[in-house]
Amino acid sequence: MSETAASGLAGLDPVIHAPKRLAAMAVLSTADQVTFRFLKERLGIADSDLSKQMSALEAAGYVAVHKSGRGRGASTSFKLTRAGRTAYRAHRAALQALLGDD
Amino acid sequence: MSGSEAGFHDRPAAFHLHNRKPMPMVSDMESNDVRAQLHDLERAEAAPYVDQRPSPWWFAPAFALWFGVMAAVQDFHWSTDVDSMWQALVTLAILIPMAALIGAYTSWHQRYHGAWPKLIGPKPPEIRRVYRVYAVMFLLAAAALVGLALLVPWWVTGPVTAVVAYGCLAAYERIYERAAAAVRERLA
Repeated sequence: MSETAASGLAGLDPVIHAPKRLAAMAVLSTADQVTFRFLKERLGIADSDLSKQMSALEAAGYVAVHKSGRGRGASTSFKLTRAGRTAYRAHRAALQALLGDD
Repeated sequence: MSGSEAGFHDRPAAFHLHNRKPMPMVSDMESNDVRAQLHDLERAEAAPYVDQRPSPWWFAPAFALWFGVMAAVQDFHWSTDVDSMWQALVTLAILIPMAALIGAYTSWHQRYHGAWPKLIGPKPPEIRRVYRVYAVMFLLAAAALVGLALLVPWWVTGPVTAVVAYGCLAAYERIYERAAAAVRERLA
């Protein structure tokens, strides 16, 4: 095993390695704030599934949730926390390292 | 956390890389999978920039009107010699709701488009180029309009600014959509 690949494996974050969570983190990484609807459409998953994935990211301290309004006009949006941003960058760098592209 | 979730976290990260098969040696890993994963990440990262709904019909006129009013008020303030209370009140009475409109716009944009892409930070190169063009276009238009405001009365500055803002926005939206389409095609 090469040193680069070994460091790549060590850097993979199990919380965000699940494909749906990783995709959500990727979308959030380039936006100040993203709504639930936007994420749902981009990831192509059901409301309940997205809620579950985002709860896991929130529990890990990677995502902050903001709810506004009530009833039909209510909206939920997400943003990466500082820890989430750091974790995503590290995970992405680890994937690059697996390819030896660092 | 459910039992399956707990199990997920108990396993080494590399376990999850290949559809939950036992952890392979790195040398056995299909680098194409990782490459495909990175490609998917790039596409997801680009989404806030390129997966935008088209602006509604009223957006460009409203944008132009906002800039026209702001320029007229500013020119009115510069060119009026009388430093009276009513002048300050008129200026404030217009500027305060105009500033409030920025807040309303921000909130509307977030709800309508669903994502507010970052201005600073990594972004698709095609979009970065458009941002540069936009910055240059904005600076040139602002400099030209300030020069114009020094030569003509406020009631000319306002409409001219509105027309220039409308033209710049129309050009920007066309250039942006072309760049977004190029990104979507590259990452398809």
